[in-house]
Order: sequence, then C-alpha cells, then structure tokens
Amino acid sequence: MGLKTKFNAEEGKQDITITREFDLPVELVFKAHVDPEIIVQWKVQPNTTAKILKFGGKKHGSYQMQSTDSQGKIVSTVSGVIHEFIPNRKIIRTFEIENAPIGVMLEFYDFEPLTDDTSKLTMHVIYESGAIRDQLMKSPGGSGYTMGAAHDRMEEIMSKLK
Amino acid sequence: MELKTKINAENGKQDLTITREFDLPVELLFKAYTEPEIIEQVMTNPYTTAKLLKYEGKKHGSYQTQSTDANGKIVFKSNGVFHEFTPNKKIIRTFEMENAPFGVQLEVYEFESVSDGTSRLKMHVIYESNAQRDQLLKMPFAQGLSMAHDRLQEIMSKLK
Repeated sequence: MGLKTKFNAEEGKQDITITREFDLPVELVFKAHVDPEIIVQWKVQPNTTAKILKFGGKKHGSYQMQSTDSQGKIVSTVSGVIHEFIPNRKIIRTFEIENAPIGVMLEFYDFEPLTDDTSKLTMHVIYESGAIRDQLMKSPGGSGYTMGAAHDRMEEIMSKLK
Repeated sequence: MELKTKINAENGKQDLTITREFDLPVELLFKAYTEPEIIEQVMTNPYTTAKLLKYEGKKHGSYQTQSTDANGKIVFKSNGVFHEFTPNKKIIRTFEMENAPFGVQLEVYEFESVSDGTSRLKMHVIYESNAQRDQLLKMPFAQGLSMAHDRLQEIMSKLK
C-alpha cells in the first residue's frame, strides 16, 4: 500500500522527484488533478473533509482548498497560483500550506501516456531550502507513504470511470 | 567597477541570493517593482523598450512583459504569477523567460527599510536545476541586473 509512488530526494538538495505509474489513461490521471469534485475525494488527509474554495484550472489561475475535521474545525488551508496549464501534459504551480513555517513550493507535474491504458506522473517539487525539504519529509503528512496512499485512492476512484 | 548588486551563488546549488541597497525609502523601492509605468522604464534600456502586456499586482494576480528592439522586433517576453503580494514587504512570484532554456523560477523578493531614506532588496531565486542556474550565470546576468538596479535608483531618485 502506498509504495508504488517513488520518491527521489538527493542528499543536500532542495528538491524532490516523485514518480508514479497508474493503470489509467493519461486523460483520467490529469482529470483527477483538475476536477474539483474528484480532487476532494483523494487529495485529503485521513479523517478530514476537503472543500475547494477556489479553483481556476487554467494558466495564471489560482486555487485554495480547506480541510476540516469531524467537528468542522479547520485543520489546514492550502493555496497557490498556476503558472502553466496544458491539458493532459503539464501543470506548473506554486503550493503553500497557509500559516505553516515551510515556505512556498514550486511544483511541476508532467503527465505522460505509456500505453492507451497506462500512464506516468512525474512531479518535481522545489522548496525554498534543503532544510525545509528535509523537515517536511520527516513529518507524517510529508512522507512518501501519505502521498502514495492518496495516489492509491485516486487510482481506485478513477478506475470506476474507465 | 564593482557592481552594487551582490549575487551569492553557492556551488552545486539551484538557487541564488541577490542583495542590493538603495538610497530610497522602502515605499519608493516597492513602488518601482509594482507600478506598471515605472516597471516599464526600469526594464527599458538603450537597446530595447519594455511594455507590460498584463499586470495584476496583487496576491494571485499575474503579469506578462514584452521587449522590442529599435526595429520593433520582439526580443524578450516573460510572464508569471504572484503567489504573495504584501505592500512594502514581500512579493513571491513565478518568472519565466518565454522561449528560453532556463525553465520557470520561483522568486522571493523581500523589501526592508534600513533607515528613513535607505532600503534593502533581497531576492531569493530558485531554479529548476543547478545546470539552468549556472547556464544563466554564464551570461552577463549580474551586470544586466546591476545596471537595471542603477536605472531604478536614478528613476526613483527624481520622485523623492
């Protein structure tokens, strides 16, 4: 579980590369990243409910998403701007967890078809410093396992739409 | 002549730290980076004329610039989005030189008041890779930036 997503974090650097292959056509993997109704189903921390406050899925658009716990208390708000948006191919965006001391990240998502039914996602995430990257990777939310589990959830959700 | 704009590029890293002190109150320094007409003046040099095609100076806004030579030929285009925009303090934006091999950069600008009449700009520029950063540094990047900052100082001094 969660181990199909591979992380590569070179010692002393301030970026990571994340790769994952999906048993899904590239169009469905892209859709999972840009359809607000689908995003809230998988890009969510355990035991929280996600809500998209803003989603401008286009070049120079912006987004904001909030997660609440079962009591309705806000657990986290994330937001950023979209620098590049090429359907089924590429997204470049900034990402920030509001009120968290981890700065702003620049994220590159590359979507590639492998066959008609399989595809590969490559994410290149750049942090403001190597120290921030290393701190985040040690935290439960930033671990490879959490993202891998989210990707598993996404693959399951999207498989039903094939 | 020693450049007034200092660039610190640690070996093997993919980022740069740039600092420059100005004989300007921090409000004028910030204005130079956020007032479209002044941005165009600062970006214009003896060889090219800059124009802002789009400028939304606010959080989650975006911008696009274009520079043309004396014959009207487009020689430079750039664009990006503002992640954060805090007047007189901080701007975080993306920057891309269009049709160039340098990728997309994340830029953090910090504006600091040093005294009533002086201020400091700190820029932290993060590249997609160390190779792209080093390739850019091989160009007359430091000279160009320092000259643009000299122009900024000159233009804004008249508004003091």
